[in-house]
Order: sequence, then structure tokens, then C-alpha cells
Amino acid sequence: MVRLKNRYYLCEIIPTGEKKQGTHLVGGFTERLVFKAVQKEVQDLHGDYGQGVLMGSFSVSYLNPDTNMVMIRAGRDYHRLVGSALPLVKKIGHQEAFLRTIHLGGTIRSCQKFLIKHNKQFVKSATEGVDVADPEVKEQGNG
Amino acid sequence: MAHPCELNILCDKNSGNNVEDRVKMALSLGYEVIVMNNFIPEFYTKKKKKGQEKTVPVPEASEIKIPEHIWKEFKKRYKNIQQCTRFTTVITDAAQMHGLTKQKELKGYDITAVQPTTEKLFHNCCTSDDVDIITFDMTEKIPFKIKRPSINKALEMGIHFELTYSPAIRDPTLRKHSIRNAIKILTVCKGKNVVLSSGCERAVELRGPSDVANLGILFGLNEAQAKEAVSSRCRAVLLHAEARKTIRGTAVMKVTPVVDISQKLQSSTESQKNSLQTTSELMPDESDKSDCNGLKEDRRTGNVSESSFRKRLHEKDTDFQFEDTVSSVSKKSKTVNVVDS
Repeated sequence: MVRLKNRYYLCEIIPTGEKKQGTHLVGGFTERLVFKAVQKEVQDLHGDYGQGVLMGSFSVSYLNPDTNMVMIRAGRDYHRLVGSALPLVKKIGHQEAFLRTIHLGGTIRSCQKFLIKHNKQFVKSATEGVDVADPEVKEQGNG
Repeated sequence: MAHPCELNILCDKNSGNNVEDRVKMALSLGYEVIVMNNFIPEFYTKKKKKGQEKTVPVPEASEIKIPEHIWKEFKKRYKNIQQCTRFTTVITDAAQMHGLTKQKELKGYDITAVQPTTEKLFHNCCTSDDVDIITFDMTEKIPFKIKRPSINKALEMGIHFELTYSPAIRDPTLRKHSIRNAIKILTVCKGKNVVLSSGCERAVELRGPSDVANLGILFGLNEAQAKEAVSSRCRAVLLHAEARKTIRGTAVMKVTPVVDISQKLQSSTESQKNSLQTTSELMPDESDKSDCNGLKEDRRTGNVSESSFRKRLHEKDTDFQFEDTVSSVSKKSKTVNVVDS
């Protein structure tokens, strides 16, 4: 048996819509919405061929609604088709947002490791200069 | 992908007040060098009859930079960031190339970029000393053929070609045009010296470095070239710009180690020794002439004044004084310059 190889794009959703008065931005992204948005761009850019080739492997395998991190799976042979469509996403659901690729991994595990590292760094930079009494807060990483 | 750069953030006054938003977005996406671009389509025209020159006032480079107090706040948040300035113009006439060197305000800008409109002007731009980037209007068809010889010249000079990606994100029809233009350029230059930048009008049109590299693959670059086009090629542009400003009017002396010279002198045969004696007795005028020839040769090969330096060593006796020869060579080069001009 030959293993079916995949590639995983680890992306951050960056909402760009206008802020409403007093409230901060509404998240509400779901795996289904992200999948539909990317699929539409693949259809626009690569047409039926792109759709057909990716049909078996293309899916959104993880989404963290708190940190807006999303992991998109694609077959290894054709992952470039997804990769080139990712920067063209402008809208997810009804909300204006775009995706920022931060990592391209071969396994879910490697992406998880990267994400933990990334989040730790983010917490570190965000709490720089702030005295954090609880050491557990520093270790927090929403892997 | 180390040290990604964003080479094109438009900030002329027509583009609105959201420059800070765009810079903020670019920094949050992970760019380390931000280049503020001042795009003025026509800045220099020459009247045919009177021969008078008319120039459009170009704002000083410091005016388009992000103000100090805001930049300091950015610097607290993001480390190792840098901002530069760039001037871009459309070239419709050969006289405008001349204007690039004449205008005083332009000297304050770090990078000079041009957008040629005809094949001849494109060739002029490729061979010019005053250009760092050649850019194209990606929203329309490129109105001329791009030929290999001019591209070769540009590669030799270290001039880079810019592809802007924000039209591709903005609109599907513009996307078709930009892919077509990109492929047209890339088939000729084979992916060498290509820079990817945004040229965005809104913060929404900016993308992260790895996404831009993905778009580069869509444009026809290969994986390594696409990554380079966002990072190391952009650095090369900045270095080229810096070198262009500093290198004019200076001579570079390459000094060979003393050990080599002594070995050479030892290895020289008796016949050469005889010739040494004869050359030392030569009239000064003739030695001058020989030096001039040597220097001219050097200019052509780019191997600056090494051979003439050695020549002089042979002419002199073994107990030569090093500084003396250096100063005399530099004097000679001055006289040569006078003769040339």
C-alpha cells in the first residue's frame, strides 16, 4: 500500500471589515464557511480541472474560533492549486477577511508543533513588559 | 524566508489618508522593510521651441515618510523594522531620463523606479545608471516587445523588474491581465532579478510574504525564485540603490599583499632586470603615456588599476615606497580624467 500524502496549510484569518461602534469584530467563522470560500477561489482560478483534481483530499481539518487559526488540507501533488488560491480569498461568509499563510506542513502533527511555538511567541511578545505573576499563563498555547 | 520586504506602498496625496493603516497592516503581516512609494506620472517636460525645461514640483523624501512619533510606536512593537523611500515615474521621452539626474529633490529618495512606454525607452532604462527598478503597468497590456538583449544588459547592471500583485487580488479581469504580463516578462528574463510587491491602494489588498510567494508561483516563477522575489531580491534592490549613490566618482584600489610582490621580483629573470634599469632611465613623459594606457585598459576590464600598479612596481627599484606609488597613481588617474573629459 502506498500512503496518500497530504500537505497542510496553516493560516490565520484576518478580518478586515469595518468595526461597529463599541463592539469588537464578530468572529463566527466555521470550517464550512472557510472551505466554501477557498473552494470558490479555486473554481475561479483553476476551473473544473482544479476542482476535480482536489476533490478527494481538499478539506478544512481544523479551526480555532478563539485564535482564528485554520488548517487546510490538500493532496500533495496538487497542493499548489490551493496555495495559489489562498491569497485571493477576500470574503469568508458575509464578512470581509483574508487568509495569511504562516506554515506549510506535511503532517497535522508538524503543524500542531509549529502552532504551539507560534502562539507561545505571540504570548511572549504581547506580555512583554507586563509582569505576569502566574507562570502558567506564559506557557499557554492553544495548540 | 528571511527578512521579507515590501517595496511598494503608494503614498501620493491622491491615494487617501490610509497610508498608516497600510503600513500597520504590512508590519503585522511580518514585513521588515517598508518602502514608501511616491508615484508621479509626469515630472519633467521639455518645451521644443524655447528649450526651456518645466518641472513638476516633487515633494521631499522626508515628507512622504511616516512621521517620527508614529514610527517610534511601531518600532516598540516590531523589532528590526526599517522604512525607505522610492520615486516612480512614467518615461515617455528620452529627455526624461536626463531629468532623473537633474532634479535635486530626487536625490533624497532611496530608490528610483521607472515605467517605460516604448521599446526604445525600455532599452534606455535597462542600460541606465540611474535606475534601480523597472516597473510595468500590470492593469493593461504591455505596449511593446521585451527583447532579450536589453534584459541581458539590465541583468548585468543589476536592475530589477517589478511585478505588482494587488491588481490580481482586486478584480478577475485585472488578474488575467497581470498573469499575462507576468508570463510575458518571465519568459524573457527566466525569473532572474524579479521582485514581487503590492502597489496596494487599500490595506485589504496586502498579503503576507508566503502568500505573495504563492502568487509568484501562479505568475510562473519556480518555488525558490518566488521566495527570493519577496526577500533576498528586494534586499539586492536596496543594496543596488545604495551603491549607485556612493560609487560615482570614486576609484577603487586593489592592493596585492607585499609577500607576492617580493616573490615576483625574485622570480624575475636577468633580462627583466636589465629592462628595469632601462625603464628607470626613461623620460618622465614616456612613462606617463604608458601609465595612461594601463589605466584605460583597466577601465574597460573593471580590474581597477591593479596591472598599472604592478607595472609601476617593476619600473621602480626594490626599495620602493608604497605610499608614494599610490599617490602618484591617483595623480595620474586624475590627469587621465581631465584628458578624457
